[in-house]
Amino acid sequence: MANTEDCRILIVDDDKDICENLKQILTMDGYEVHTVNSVAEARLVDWGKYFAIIVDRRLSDGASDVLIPEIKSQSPTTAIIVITGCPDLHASLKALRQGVEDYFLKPLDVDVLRASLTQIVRTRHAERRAAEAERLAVIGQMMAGIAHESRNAIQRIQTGADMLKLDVSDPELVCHIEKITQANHDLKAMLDEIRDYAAPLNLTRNEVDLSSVWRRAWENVVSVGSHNDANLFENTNNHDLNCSVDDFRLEQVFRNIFENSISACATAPSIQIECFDLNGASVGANDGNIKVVIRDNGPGFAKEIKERQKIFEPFFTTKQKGTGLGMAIVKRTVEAHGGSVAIGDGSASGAEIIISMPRRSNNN
Amino acid sequence: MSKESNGSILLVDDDQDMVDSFSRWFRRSGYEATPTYHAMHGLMAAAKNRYDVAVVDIGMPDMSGLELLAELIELQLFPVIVLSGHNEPELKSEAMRLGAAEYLLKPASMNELESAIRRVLFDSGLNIPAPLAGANGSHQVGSGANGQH
Repeated sequence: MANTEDCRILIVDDDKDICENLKQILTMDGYEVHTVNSVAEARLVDWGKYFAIIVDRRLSDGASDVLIPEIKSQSPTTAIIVITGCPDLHASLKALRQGVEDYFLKPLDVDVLRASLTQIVRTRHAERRAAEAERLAVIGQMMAGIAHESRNAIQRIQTGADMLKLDVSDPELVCHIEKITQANHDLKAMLDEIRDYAAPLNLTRNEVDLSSVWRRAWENVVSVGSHNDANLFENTNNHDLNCSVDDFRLEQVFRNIFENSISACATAPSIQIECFDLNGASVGANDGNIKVVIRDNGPGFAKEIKERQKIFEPFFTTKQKGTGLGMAIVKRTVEAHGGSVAIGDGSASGAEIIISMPRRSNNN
Repeated sequence: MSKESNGSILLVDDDQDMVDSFSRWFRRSGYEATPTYHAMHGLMAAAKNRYDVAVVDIGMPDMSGLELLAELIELQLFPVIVLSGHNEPELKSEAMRLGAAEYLLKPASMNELESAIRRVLFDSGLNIPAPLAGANGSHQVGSGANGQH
């Protein structure tokens, strides 16, 4: 059982033998089973503690028809299974209309009952997963909204600092203004990362040459960071690198990887990009998958990071600056394209990132 | 544009503090700046007065920036620079398709904003000095970027 919420069953039947037999069988299956023998006893129980209640249709002090609406009202997520010794089409239809999960005739086929319980557990898990996904989506939208709405405030700080620069000539004060500007820039970068990570990822695919995407990213990283000593070396073997991708999103993927590499390299960062197909040969075919290997001349990843691929976890960082979302964004974006990303196990001493990606959407 | 002025700028953004700061900065830098805080006010000012360039936000409560942009472009009065908090490529494409002269992302430094204004004024043939280099300047891409090794 996944958790205690999914293992408690209540049996309501005035036939104590049936109660005991079912309890033994279902207990062996791993359920925690409680039994009561009347409507009155059943009403004393906290129904919310049970994921399923198996109830006999005719009890000595009343019918399940009365109990079912009460259970549904007080514990809507508890599944109800009705068992009966009297086949009655109208009664079974009424029970199903009342929202019971299943309706079985005595003598019970225990395997069918077990299958029904298993299905109920699976459905509950799926419902909980969907609710959790919805909750995360709402948090994501909220974070994206906060990140977006703060742009105006950040713009005001920037403009205020720029205004001060017009009047201030004292080097010490100028230095303080520069610190405000830098902090503002860092805040903006952090909120951008949070927004990029949290916002829904809707790809807009364009037919592009992959090398043009990483070159744009490279130019941006080098120019913004003034990394004039950094070098990018390509080995595409003149093969066709056309693919259908969201080039805006993928540019960010390369940018994040390049920025990580450059910040890890103490001096003269040197980054190599090499392309293969997934069988190990260089890319040649127009279809299939592209594998891009990006290596740098930095210190590489620690063994534990490499083994557990930790850099792709959100908020993981070995740097003093940054949110730790950069590589998580890389993973999310590449996976949205149907691809995968991993730390390479190559012999190179620096870091090695391997992106494997289909040239075309699998939905095409 | 008066002889003493570097250019006249219409500013449209619902963030009043920000527009006022822009306005002060541009006035200090030799421009004529008119702040407006609603899309409709911006549109009315555009219809009544003469400006050399407008800087408009793209997300305002009373009218979307794209609507305002479309209206301003249709009037064919002056070039329009979009200063937006939205980084979505489709929004940028739509703004450029509608005829925006530039699409800047918030936060932009005043140097970046002024550089964009100078570029736009230069392109529209006004007697403004040639555009400044971008705030970050241009940098040479690493030597291996286009080669094979």
